[in-house]
Amino acid sequence: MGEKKKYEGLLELLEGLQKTCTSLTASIREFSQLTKASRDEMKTRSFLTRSFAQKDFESNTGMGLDEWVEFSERLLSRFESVSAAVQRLDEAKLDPSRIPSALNELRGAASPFLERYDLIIDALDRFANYMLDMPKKTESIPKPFRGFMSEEDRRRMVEEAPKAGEGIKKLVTELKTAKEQITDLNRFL
Amino acid sequence: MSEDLASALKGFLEEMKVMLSPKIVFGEPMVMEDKTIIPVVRIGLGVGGGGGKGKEGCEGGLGFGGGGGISPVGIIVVLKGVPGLEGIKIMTFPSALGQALGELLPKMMETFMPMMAGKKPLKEEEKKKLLTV
Repeated sequence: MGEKKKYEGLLELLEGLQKTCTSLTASIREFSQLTKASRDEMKTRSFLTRSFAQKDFESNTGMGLDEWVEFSERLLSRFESVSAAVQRLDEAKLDPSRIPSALNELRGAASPFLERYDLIIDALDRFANYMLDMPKKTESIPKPFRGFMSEEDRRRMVEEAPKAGEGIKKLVTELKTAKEQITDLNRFL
Repeated sequence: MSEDLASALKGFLEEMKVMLSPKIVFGEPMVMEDKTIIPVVRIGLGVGGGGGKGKEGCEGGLGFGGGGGISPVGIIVVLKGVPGLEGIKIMTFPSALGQALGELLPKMMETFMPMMAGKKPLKEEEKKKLLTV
């Protein structure tokens, strides 16, 4: 089989993955900022609500805020490596003999993500649903306990949390697309 | 002072600044029809730090450590429509009661808000996988 025929369709896939990586790294960066801001905001809560809010957050999203911050930084670093490998694959298209090694490099950079894919999607979905359910949860707090929350905390829970939840859902969709595109590229190996 | 020590101290002081903010020491005011109640807490802190040079050719080291606790000590009640000092009441808790309240409040909130009880945190093994992605 000629080199040209062997790599038919690679360019289209590569172009798609490049676009996904650009948008995905921006979304992960936003997610990372969200986790850091939430961690800082938690520290400023009154002693009456802080320990409860921390426990509620951890049991619903699966991890504590420090762990989410660490995870988001790891995921960002992972997709920066994937983006760099995609860039090298793009450069290699001019010399098809370099394509197999560039594809291998991409496979290596993406494998920790692909191996943990289901776990990552489940965890992010939990986080997103927690944020999306926040207004309903705020309404369900019995009246005597509402006084323990400040107006600012309540506003964040009702207005900002659902927007953050939508952002995480978008990140999940982009991760699913990235997985499909990377898996598709592996057929050229 | 070395740059590492200065940076470690700066981080430590930033944390202290948050911990000792008025909002935390006084809690959120609870506004009721005829009065506002402001909880007051006591923050106990213990800190220590040290550093040393290594032998020739070896790096030195430094470290900080700290621990603390928080317990309610009383409440300030501000009565609406009562001017001057007459409108302010300060009530203190005996220390044992304050400590017990500090431990009980989060548990009480969980008990009375069962709808807020959610799923369980991830297993350690799963967390480890996510944190090594």
